[in-house]
Amino acid sequence: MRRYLVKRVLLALGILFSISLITFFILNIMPGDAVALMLGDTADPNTIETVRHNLGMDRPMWEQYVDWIVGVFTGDLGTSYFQRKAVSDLLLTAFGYTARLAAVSYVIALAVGLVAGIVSALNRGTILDRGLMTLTVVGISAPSFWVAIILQIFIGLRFKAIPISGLDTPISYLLPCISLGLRYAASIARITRTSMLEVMGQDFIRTARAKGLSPWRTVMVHMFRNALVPIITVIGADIGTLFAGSMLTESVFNIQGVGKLLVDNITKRDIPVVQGCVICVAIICVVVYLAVDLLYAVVDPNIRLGGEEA
Amino acid sequence: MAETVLEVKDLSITFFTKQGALPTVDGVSFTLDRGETLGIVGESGCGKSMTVNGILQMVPAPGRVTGGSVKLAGEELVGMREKELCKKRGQDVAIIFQEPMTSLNPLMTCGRQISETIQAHKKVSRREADQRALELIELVGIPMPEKIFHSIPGQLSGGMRQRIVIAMALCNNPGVLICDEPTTALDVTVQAQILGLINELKEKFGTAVIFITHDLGVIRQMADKVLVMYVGQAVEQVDAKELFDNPLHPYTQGLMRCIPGMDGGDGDLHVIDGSVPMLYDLPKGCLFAPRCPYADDRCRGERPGFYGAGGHRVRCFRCESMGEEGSR
Amino acid sequence: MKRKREPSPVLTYRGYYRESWELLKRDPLAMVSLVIVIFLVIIAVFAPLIAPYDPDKQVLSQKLMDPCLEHWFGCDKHGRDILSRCIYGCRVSLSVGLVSQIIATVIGYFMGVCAGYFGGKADAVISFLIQVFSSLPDLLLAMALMFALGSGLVNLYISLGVLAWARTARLIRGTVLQLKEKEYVKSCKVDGGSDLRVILRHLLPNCIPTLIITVTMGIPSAILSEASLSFLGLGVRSPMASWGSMIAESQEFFRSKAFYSLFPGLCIIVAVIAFNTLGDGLRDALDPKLRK
Repeated sequence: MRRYLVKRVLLALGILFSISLITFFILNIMPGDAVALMLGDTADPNTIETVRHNLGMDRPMWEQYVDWIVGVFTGDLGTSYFQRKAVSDLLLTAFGYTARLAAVSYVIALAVGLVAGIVSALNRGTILDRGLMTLTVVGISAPSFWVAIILQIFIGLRFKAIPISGLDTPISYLLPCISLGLRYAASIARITRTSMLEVMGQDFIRTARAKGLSPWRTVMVHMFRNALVPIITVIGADIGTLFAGSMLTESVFNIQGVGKLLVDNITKRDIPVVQGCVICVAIICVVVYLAVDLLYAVVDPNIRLGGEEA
Repeated sequence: MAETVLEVKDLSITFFTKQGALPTVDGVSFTLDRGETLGIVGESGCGKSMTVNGILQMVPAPGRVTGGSVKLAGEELVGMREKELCKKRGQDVAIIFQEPMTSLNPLMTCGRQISETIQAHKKVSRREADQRALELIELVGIPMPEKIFHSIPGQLSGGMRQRIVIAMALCNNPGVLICDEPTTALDVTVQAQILGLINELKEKFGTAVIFITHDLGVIRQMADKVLVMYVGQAVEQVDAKELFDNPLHPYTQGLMRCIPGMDGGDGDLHVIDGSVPMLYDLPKGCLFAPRCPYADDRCRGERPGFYGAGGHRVRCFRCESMGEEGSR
Repeated sequence: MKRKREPSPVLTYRGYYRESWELLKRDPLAMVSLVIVIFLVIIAVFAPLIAPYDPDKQVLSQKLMDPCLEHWFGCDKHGRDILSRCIYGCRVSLSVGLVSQIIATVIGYFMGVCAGYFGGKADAVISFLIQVFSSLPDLLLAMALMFALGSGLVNLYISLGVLAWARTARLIRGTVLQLKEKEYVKSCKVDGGSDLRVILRHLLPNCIPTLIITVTMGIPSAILSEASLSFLGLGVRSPMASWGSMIAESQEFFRSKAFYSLFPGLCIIVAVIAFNTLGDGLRDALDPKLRK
């Protein structure tokens, strides 16, 4: 168990390091534009050169990278070109919004998806099952930003009590959470159904029924628990993309989260902010994947106790 | 007069598929007294296991019990509400399945799987149930019960797992224990141990046992009476001793000859010619007629009923002279 | 990672694809989606013939015109016919889906084969890279790449293609690991066949079913990514019509002109559902493990 843990943590650190390297070089391939953009069209080449020098942009790329990565470890992500604020401060404020939006959306999506998946599996082949599965296909295929706009049009404009921007009152969570959570609810429902059906056909479920356990206990303790491993994999992959998806939702609903920060600054070419946002999302993703790996060990004692793969 | 614990009468199970309604089990009847062992024998796919599912009212879709009755200690199970059935299963009738590798939940400790069965039927605390589970693990001859109690099935051998399954089946002292090929998946040496264990526990608790197998050798070792099945029908029903001394149905005779050394014959391995008919394409007459060396035109055109005398029931026209035996 | 179905090796007899086709024909959902996919391809290829108007022609008098007989989907804020723009948008979406998947397949196949076939250090490095690339959300990396390369159709092909290789590589690696143990592959090596010969002659044909599935499943996610990037202004260059950018343009008019956002979104949904369902059907038809 300890070896498993150490291996996973080292791997996670390696991945994080590689991501920082890759994204840093991608983002710094053409840094000239930013300065020109910052100073406007009228700036003369000399000024641009001076500013570049002051920002340290004329040094070799690897030197800049080392500076930056050392900064990341000490919590210093540099300063925004345009806003004259520390990137870490900007991120901290924005992260609050994103985290709240993502957490509320995902918890609701998880609850809806699990229930829909279990209900679907238990009623396989019925109209209820087919209806639910059709809904999930639409849910997976609809782009979240479009769902967001459609929700604004058909719900936000109809019911004045439901705000169509911001994330301040409880009711204002409604539309952003539906638009962000829909595809996750759908994908969780699908994997839950598949996984449940796979488990339902196995011998030990017959044993559980033959033991005279109540249907509820058979479903929840024996089926669902065993169906959980694939579901956790999906959940782990989802939470990574959740932050990417929230970029779109945040920009439609005008929520000042990490996504909005990233989108706004990517067009302005404010590299330190963009870099900060990317590394922030990367850290979250890698931590989530690590957590999922550890969760496997909790759910599946075959990993924990070193039994055979069941 | 021994007390009858299970009475199955004309049990029929039909699967409704695209190929039509398939009579998977067709009018099987038998009774089981306290402490008695009934062996059900037949090739794979002959409806042995489905008969068991029918008794437990656990026939998987698209199958359904389409007729007959199952009386467990006088109570009718066919048509009983699921909630009532849950109280019967594991309490009055328990089952040991064929595959010890897959019939235990791979994520739950062995001890918990036993104690949850106890708790499903008795109002006892978790601690008491665990204590009882531990005793049972010891009872089925597992060394170091505490360690095994906390193990998950993946850490145990097949024989060990089957012992756990047996402990689980016996934890509520069921009146009827069904063993569905409990040793088929095990090594021969382990097989003998498990059979010995079942016999020993049967004596101890006075449990009635239904023993399903395709192995006549095992039947000889375990059963008091035998039911031979062929394509969903019972073809011969008699005391075990009589069956082995005087098998009457050509199919039973064929089965006996298939076992090396059973017949005391020439040592050649015998094979029954032809193959089992498909359920969606059953012969018009006797189901065994296409493979039967004695079949005549009547066999091919007409289904035989039960004939025989002295508790020996045979579904074959050749025994017609012995007298008509309706279902008991 | 555990969830991914590792495809098993496939016999390379001619009848295999015929049998798969027979299976696919029996799957009504897959056939319906195949018809829709063919329909979309025809629209994309013959867009100039099918579109009733020039998608970029601005007629100011028709600004934000509601749907009517002349303009079924209405007109946008510059008075351009939305139906024609949706038809040309189909071109963008399908070409991005296809080209990016071809790029991803070429990279993914060779990476996957190298990892699975050579094993050892090559496998370790490539497997690590696969994990690195699957750790970040696709959209985020694509944004970074589009940021560096600048917007435009070709850059979309490149960024989405370069990012999607990891999934293909992982599946191919699994397939090759199983194939490597097969007798005919071993015997070819014993007979002195070069590695390249084994890779192209014996491994490639057996990987084709896996590749068909990954491409079909990859296209809808590429379409969604393209729409998202264009929506954020990092995709196609204006005035090129893309479903995503059309939705972005419509956003400011959502209070009064619902149709403006509605139609491009429906186009995305139809295309993505069709490809996803077809992919599911193909997977069932091509996976020999599911064959009975």
